[in-house]
Amino acid sequence: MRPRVLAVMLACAALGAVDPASAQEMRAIVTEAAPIYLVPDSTRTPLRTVPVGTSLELLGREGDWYRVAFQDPQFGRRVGYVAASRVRLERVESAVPDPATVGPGTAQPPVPPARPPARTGLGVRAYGTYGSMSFAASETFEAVAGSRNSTNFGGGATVTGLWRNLFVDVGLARSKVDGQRVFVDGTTVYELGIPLEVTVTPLDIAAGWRVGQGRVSTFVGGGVTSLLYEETDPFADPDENVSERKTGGLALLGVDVEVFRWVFVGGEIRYRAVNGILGAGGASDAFGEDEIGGFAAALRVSFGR
Amino acid sequence: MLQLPPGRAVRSILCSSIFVALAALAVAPGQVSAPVTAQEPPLIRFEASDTVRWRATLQALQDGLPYVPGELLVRFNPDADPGEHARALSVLRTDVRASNVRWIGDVVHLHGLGDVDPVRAAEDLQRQPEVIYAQPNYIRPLKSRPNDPNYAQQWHFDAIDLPRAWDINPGGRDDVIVAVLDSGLSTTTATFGFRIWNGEAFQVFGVPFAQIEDFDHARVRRGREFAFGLQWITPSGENLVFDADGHGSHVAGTIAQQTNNGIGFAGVAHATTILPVKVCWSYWDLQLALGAEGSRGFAPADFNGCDDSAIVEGLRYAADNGARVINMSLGGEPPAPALEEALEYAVSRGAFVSIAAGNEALEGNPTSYPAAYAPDIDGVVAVGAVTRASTRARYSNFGPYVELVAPGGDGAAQANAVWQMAPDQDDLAFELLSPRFDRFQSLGINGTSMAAPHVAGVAALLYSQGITNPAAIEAALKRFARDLGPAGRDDEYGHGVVDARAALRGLGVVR
Repeated sequence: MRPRVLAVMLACAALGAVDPASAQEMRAIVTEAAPIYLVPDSTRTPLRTVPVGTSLELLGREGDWYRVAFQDPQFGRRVGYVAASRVRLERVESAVPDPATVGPGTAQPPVPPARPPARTGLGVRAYGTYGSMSFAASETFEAVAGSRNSTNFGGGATVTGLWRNLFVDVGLARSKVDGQRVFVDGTTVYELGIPLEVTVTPLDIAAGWRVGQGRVSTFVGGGVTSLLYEETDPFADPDENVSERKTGGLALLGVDVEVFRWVFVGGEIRYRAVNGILGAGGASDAFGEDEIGGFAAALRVSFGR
Repeated sequence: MLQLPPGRAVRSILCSSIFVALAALAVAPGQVSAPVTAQEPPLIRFEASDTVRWRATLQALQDGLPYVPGELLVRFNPDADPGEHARALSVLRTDVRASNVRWIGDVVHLHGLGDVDPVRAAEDLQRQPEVIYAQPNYIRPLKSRPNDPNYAQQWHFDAIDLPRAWDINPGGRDDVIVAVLDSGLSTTTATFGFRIWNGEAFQVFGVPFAQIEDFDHARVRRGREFAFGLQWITPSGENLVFDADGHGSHVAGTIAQQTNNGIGFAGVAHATTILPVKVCWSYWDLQLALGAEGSRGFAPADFNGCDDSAIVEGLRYAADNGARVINMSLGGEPPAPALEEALEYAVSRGAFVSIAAGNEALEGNPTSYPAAYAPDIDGVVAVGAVTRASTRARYSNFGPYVELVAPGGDGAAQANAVWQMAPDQDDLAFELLSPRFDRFQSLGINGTSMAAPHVAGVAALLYSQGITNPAAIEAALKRFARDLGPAGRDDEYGHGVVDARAALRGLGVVR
């Protein structure tokens, strides 16, 4: 792992995930029909009972009660108390319309918010990625393949809401490089015209922090990758083919945008660093490059909640 | 020399004797030439660029001198003008005329200097500020001698993993030219008339020549002869290149003998093109030249040699004519800066050079030149010999200049020699009255001469595969050599035995 690279990535991710609190307010969303009392005492007659989904302006908390404001159709804005067990809290844009208007003593349908509130609680999303891998061993891959970049496919699953904004992600990716064997003399590369096929298959396990902002959420995390490196050519004896797996570090950041219900499109960047495979021989030894991995940038499509 | 099968040798001599008896009727003893009848083959023409020089050469060859008398190779400082050249040459205390001077590239070949002692003269010249180097025109021996023929497997190709290398590259490309600086290779099929001393008189013999059957002659260039400044010119005006020894054919065979053609043996880079550059002579070259020149008598039976001026010319000729690889299975003790400079020139023109390290390990292991220049020139390697058991051959020189080894044969066991097709050694025996160069045999011989062409052949494959820089070819050969002896480079095995398949396969990302 390259600590500097990882630190920069985490810093960027943190910046991207900053919660713009000044532009938001906390609201109490009614989760079951909730009586609102003038004082925090359930033995009293409620001022109003509001239906599920009603969004109440949150003013404060007193023990098991939230102090909320609501729009009374008869008296206009009023303030009262609702049992904490009957609502859940949610940050919403300050531009969200005023609290729902409720009729006296009756359950009125709430005015729907301008956009659906981001979800909280446990969620699972499956995703696929398509992008480009930029190998850290740049000179080596430029020598054998003419480029340090290669196409990268992947997929995985993310579990969110385990605790606050924590998520856990398991992903598998694959990059295949079709190049040729070479001879390296100093810095000069001689192409030998012998096909060389290199496949890099990292299995990533990561944890991180996901922050929602309406339909947009950003995430940043880190973890480990178990990378399978394979190399073969048509003239290799079986014992000359390479198939090695090593574990290394992983950092990732990305963004998801909900485009339809349960459908998200976004992007991600991963950086993997695995030592112990490259550098023992071949062109990577000639160039003194011992790290397999590097940046992988990909489009990402997710399904789930 | 040769261990001739007795029946064959006697028959040849008998046949020749009959021919002598008949011919003697028409040729008076001592006459220089004899008329060639319409039935006789056309008489070959012998050209010596300078008669004085040729006589000096002849004297050296007959006396067994290590250099051509009256000759020097001199390199002047580029800043020196002709006046300064003359001043420097004045230390020779002899009159140097324009007719004594011949330029080979930047090297001055002084010849016809009479009684000047070349060794002392070179030392005197070397001290002059206008002179970068000066050396006698040394005569270097070929690096192996043939022994009895036998039919055996070419174990030496398995030893460098060649069959699997051919899976990757089946013999190279025909636009890759490999020059063989050696005793020649028969590139003509014809019979020519030669005057030959029969012990009493000169007699005209029809000497037949033929291209070796186990070469694809579409990929053999006609070549050139440079040895001792002499040439045979055919009636059609072409330079006749042939191999009067077998050494050059054997070496060329290791590099590019035709393969998968159902006859003979294989060659390492059998799809490349061979350029024979004749810089060495042996017995019949000299004996035929003596006859043509009108000198009575016989050449020394064990004569063979290659003069430095011919090697310099040959190297330049090869490099200027597109050679990408040059093999030099020759060498000797005296240092030769002219050879070093010619090697640098060849590399600068894009040619990789493989040189035999020498066969004198049992005779004091002297440093052999030009092999000893190899470590100082990227793109030139000095090659020692290993046996079938992958141990250093007892005869193979060792020292800091040995960079690689390759199969060269045991020097003792016949089956463990290096095998190729070469001129029939019975036809070249000195006991004959006239030779013939149109019959061929399987020949197993040993030497670093045999090791060097293995490396040259692999170099030609590497060039064909895409490693086109001489220094890179050397680096690849060393990088993929199979280490022998102590770990890493050592004086006996250099970087190890050349591994054709590993070198051709090159590097992946990890392996």
